[in-house]
Amino acid sequence: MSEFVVISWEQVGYAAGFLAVAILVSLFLKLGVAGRIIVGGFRTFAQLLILGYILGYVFAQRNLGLTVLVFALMVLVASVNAYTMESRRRLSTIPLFFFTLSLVLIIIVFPIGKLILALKPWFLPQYVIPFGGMVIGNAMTAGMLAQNHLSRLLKAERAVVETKLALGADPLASAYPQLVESVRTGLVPTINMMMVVGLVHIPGIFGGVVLAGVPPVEAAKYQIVVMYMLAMAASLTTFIVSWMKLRTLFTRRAQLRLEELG
Amino acid sequence: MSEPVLAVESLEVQLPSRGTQRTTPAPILRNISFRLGDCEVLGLVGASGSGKSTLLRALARLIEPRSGRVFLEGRDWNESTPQEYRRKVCLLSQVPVALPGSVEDNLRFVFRLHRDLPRVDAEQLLRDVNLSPQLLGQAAESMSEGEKQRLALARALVLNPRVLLLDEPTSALDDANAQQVLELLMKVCARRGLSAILATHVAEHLRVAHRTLTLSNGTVTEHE
Repeated sequence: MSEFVVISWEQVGYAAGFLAVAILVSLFLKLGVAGRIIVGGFRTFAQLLILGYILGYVFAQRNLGLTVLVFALMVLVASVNAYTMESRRRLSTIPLFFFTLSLVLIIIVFPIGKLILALKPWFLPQYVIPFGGMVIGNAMTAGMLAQNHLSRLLKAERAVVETKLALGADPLASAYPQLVESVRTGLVPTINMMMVVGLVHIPGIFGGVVLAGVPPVEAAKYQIVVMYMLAMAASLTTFIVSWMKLRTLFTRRAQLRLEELG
Repeated sequence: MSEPVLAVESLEVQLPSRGTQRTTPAPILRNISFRLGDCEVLGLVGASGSGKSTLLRALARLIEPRSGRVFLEGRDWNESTPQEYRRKVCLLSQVPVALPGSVEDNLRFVFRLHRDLPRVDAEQLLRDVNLSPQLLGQAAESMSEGEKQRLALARALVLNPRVLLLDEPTSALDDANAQQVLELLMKVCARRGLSAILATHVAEHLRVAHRTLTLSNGTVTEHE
């Protein structure tokens, strides 16, 4: 930890020179995104600074209630994001993701804090919040991929699904292959990431821990834990979201809700 | 007329609206009432877009009518689960669908759904629909349209249904094949004592029907 380099505000100001180059490139090539880069630069500055102050406060408090509140807000933002990114927006997506992400978070964060990192207290915010944040982000992306793919598949393969329904199949039997395929699709980015981690890029937590002065092998252990954790988060989320989504795409009389498929 | 196999009373069907739509769309079928007798073949004609397919899909309960009732052998369809009802009233779609896997897998799929079904001789079943038993191991998706339609019929027959809903079953076939499939369907209905509703836009096909319903302006009129 002793090798950790503190950056002064003046040094952050120097880094703004990188942003200035991006703006100049945009102006020179007439890309029309210079304004957005400037806004993005300000937002990055403000959002991360606010995050830093909030987390600084939360870390200092070491309060379970406050940690849960931070998680609840993160899960809510992720759920609303899943709704806005949906191919055919349904408000029920928000509670679905809120429930699923909360469940997955609890299942993962508790053993991480209690058993794997053996934190004292087990919810030590400076550890569980970054871990939980990674779970939420990864699970949200996987769940969104799965739910959008399920709708697309059911629309494209409607004839097959309805043929099975007409033969007296229930919704699950009619759409089981599509359910499996959507879960698989949701898992693809996570599996791909596991295949190339450490080869193509140095992942976030590895880099962060190394920057904090921890030996690389210790950082690798953290990253291994994270990757295994994300695999479980993506698997559970894609399965639960696809399963629950499937139920909403059929009526209680086992009819495919074509109007909901977009 | 003895008790009908299927009695349809004041059926009204509208296309489902998206959740965000505030107005209720106008019904595309209204006041549909008719009866289908035992071993009867009922022709259903109407211009393209008149709602023949929609009516058959509603009768298979793949879409929910807004109002009206259907009785199968005197029993209100609400007293059965959709699965029980669809075992008795089976829809054959306009474009035949071969499920993934072999011909045998297609037949097995139905047995896996309904484990109480009596076992049937798959080879005999294929012969009954004019398919060679040698096709059992063949990939169903590689079959011709005519063969797929026969396979769809065989798959439906595994259910031992009471009513076949035939949605222009020959429209994807050439004339020679269409004639063969139509004759086969009627032969199977007669041999097994099935009732059928045959939607078609080919007037000549109506010769196999005992009565005809004409669908126009969203409702039906009946002719002997």
